[in-house]
Amino acid sequence: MAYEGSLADRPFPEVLQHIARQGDTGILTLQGDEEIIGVTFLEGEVVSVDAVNQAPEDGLGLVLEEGNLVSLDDFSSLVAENRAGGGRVTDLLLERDFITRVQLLEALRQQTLRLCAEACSWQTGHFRFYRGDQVSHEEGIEPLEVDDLLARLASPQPPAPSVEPAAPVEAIPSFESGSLPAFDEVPEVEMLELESDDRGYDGAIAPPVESLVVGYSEEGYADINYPSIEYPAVESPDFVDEADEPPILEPRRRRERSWLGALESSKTPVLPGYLLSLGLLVSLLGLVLLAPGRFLLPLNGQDRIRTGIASGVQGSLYAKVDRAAKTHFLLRGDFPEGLEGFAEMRLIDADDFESGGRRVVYTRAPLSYQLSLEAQARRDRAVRTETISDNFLLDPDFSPAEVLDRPSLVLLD
Amino acid sequence: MSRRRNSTWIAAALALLSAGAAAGDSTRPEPVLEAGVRRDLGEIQQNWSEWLASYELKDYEAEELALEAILERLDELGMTGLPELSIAASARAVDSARLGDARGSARALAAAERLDPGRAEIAFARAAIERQEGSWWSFVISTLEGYVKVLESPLKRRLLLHNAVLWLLMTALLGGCVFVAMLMAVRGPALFGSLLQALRRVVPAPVGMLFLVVLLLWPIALSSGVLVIALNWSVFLWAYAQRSERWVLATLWVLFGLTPLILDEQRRRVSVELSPMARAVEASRRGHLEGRLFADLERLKILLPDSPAVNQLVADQYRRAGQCDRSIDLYKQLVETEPRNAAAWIDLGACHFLRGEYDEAIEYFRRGASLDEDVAQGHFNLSLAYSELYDFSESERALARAQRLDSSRVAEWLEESSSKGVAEVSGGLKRAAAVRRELRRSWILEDDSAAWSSPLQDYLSMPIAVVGLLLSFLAGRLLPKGHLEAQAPPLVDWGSKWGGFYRVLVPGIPELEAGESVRAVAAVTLFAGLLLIPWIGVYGYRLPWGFEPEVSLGWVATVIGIPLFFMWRWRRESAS
Repeated sequence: MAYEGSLADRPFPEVLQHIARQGDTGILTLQGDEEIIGVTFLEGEVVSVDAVNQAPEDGLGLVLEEGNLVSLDDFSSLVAENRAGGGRVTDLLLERDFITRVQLLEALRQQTLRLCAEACSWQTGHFRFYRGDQVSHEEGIEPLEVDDLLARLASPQPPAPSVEPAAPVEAIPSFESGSLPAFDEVPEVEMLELESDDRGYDGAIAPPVESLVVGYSEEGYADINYPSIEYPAVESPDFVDEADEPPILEPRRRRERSWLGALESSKTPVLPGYLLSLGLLVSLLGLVLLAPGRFLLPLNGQDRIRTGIASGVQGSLYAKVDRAAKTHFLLRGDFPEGLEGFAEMRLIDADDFESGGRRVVYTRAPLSYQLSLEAQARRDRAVRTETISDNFLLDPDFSPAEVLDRPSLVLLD
Repeated sequence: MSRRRNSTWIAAALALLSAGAAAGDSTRPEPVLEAGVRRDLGEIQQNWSEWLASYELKDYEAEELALEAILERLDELGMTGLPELSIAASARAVDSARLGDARGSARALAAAERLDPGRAEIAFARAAIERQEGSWWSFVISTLEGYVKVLESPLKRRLLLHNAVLWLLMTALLGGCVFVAMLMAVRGPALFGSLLQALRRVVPAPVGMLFLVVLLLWPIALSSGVLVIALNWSVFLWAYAQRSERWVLATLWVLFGLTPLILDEQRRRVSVELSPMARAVEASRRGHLEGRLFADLERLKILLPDSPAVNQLVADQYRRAGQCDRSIDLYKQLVETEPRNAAAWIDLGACHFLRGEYDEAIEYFRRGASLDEDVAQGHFNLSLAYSELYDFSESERALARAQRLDSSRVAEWLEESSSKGVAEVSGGLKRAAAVRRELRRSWILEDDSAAWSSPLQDYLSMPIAVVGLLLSFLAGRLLPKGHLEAQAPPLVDWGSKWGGFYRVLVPGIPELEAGESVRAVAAVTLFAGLLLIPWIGVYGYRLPWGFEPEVSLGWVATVIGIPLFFMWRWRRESAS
């Protein structure tokens, strides 16, 4: 239950391809504006598709009706029976001899295609894949490869079958009104192996599609012409530059997951990305903690601003110490011997004994004090001297003359 | 024991006063204070010593008398608060509470409140006392009250704002860099796969890999910092990123370009705001009688001798303190440069009125009133001056005019006039913002004239950001994408038994792997921001409050914020 996202960022075909590559089993749910579609995967291949808000009559019922197999009235009565607890609709269809299992499976595939086609048209929505060990599906259903599914979706017209089906199928319905090609009309396809150097995604020299496809029949491999296939029927993601990139929905080779897949995966090293990522994270942590100014202003020529910010921080610290020093003087009649004197009275926090990793150096004289930072003490400009002069609260010059003439007050216990 | 100690230092302090010694700073200007003002200021110092002594002796009557005398002097000087004495009284209250003197502590707090009402430091001191007493709920309330009151101080508010800007920049840049690192982990296979595939045509694989590493890590050679490395990677990752991811990368470039501009402006503002002159301007505007107020205003006058705004502000301050000679000089200088400054004319008239020079006062009041008919003070003061000269008909006419303009304020002035005399305009105190602007301008001029100043170097990141964005667009078009769809396998098996747990605890990665870039960067940035709040307390500007709060709000925000952040993620995970 980890793979999820927005269809605006990752179109449905990409999501299908991603799950197919992982060879996952589970259910992909697509939440559109008005409909929720669930695509069931068995080891990376599609075994069924359902629409939550679609009435059975509008889904499988419609497919069977269009194939002149079961009228909508009959189908509705079966649905009603199902709702009354009479068993699964598909079982009832078979038990009542409305259709054969082969026809049922074919109809289910048609429904799969229709729902997938609908999902392909969604521009917005949310998807989420729930992984599982097992999924339920119609008995006898042949899992549908994602690439084949996408190729079929990409074909607007049902291409004329150029090869006979491998085995005769009894009572195959003709889906006259269906805009999607029936599965038995499309031959099993096998992609020729291509040298990735000259025919891979990286080139604008992607070969014509026709040359990629060969048909498979009982007689073996044979070239077939697929002029009607157009890619892609769905919108490609925005970041793909259609001018120089191959379409996302390019039919994949069936052997991709075998030796070629292995070869390709060996060409996409994962480790460097991980190592670089880890290195960057560690460096970030160190820099932010030790030299944040260097992180914010990384260029060598930006020393002036860095120094300015640091001296601003230093200035604010000095202002804080100054306020504390005055308070100390007002209460105790002198400046404290060390910074700890301020901390004892909670006039400043012990954290304020440092600025930018350098310790504050405090030197006291009877009527003044000096502040600087470690390693700055020898630079005149970096040393701040504060006195009590001109401060009418501290400077005895402001005291009324009669007070100065008075003898000092001595308090005795 | 404690009394002995306190007695000793009080004796020492008074001995010091007797000695009359002071460490002088010859570079500082001597404030030009008239004897009356100087005596009032000296009496405040003397009364403070008496308050301390009577506080120690628990002589409540003498203590009250001393406090009353201080407040009386303060009123005579036209001011409303003595922040330094208020802070000292707050600290004294905490000291007394520590020694178990609850009554003394309460008295000192009450005195602090009278010396400068509504200070944050008083609330912090009260919180410290309540914590010592074990009143935890009151402690929390007082601490929060203190933090709210901090916002009432313009300097602290501005420093908080600058810290917020620093924090935002740091958070945004850090979040962006972490996002690039995560993107490298997730899209790295696409980048390396595609580029190596292309390079393999011309060079052997190891050489290609080496070339790529150099291409990605070259900023290390320039010691330009981690941010530049992340930005460099973003150029290459652009080609393999989704649209929303590209928005994040572009934002990072823009931030990189703007950061020096923002920080340079902040540096200038902070330098000015922390300068004693700017603080004196602010104190004067708020009616706070700081210990060095007059000296710092004189320094301001020396720094900006030709500034009418400074002239008027300093003149207003002296007039308020009752030092008419100095303020008349300053007003006269001012009306020479700004002859249409009605407030200056009226306040000049007010000075003459206070000196009993009613003819001059009438002349200046009329001048001011004629320049700005809507200033009720001019007409009101005119009525007072005529009244002093027994010209009651003119006086009534002027009063009626003032009442037509602002009857409610005239009623207030009539109540006050018996004690305070004329109504003041104090146009200079309203020009505090203009003075700060002038200070900033003069500081910039001084800064820019420094030999080491080089704006081209300072703002180099702006053209670099433009070039970086262009390179990113180019990379998006030109870089090979043979492995565009290649993605690193999930770092963790999110579907496993502990998958949900990992999804909650590792912000960013699961979102990015699911293609939700905006959520990924939002999660990472929010997390980084929460972690960085206490960092501001260490590396940001310190708030110059006089009494340290017991609890740092930054740490509280982080300690509460991080569990809330993970709880929110857990709820989201559970809901989905």
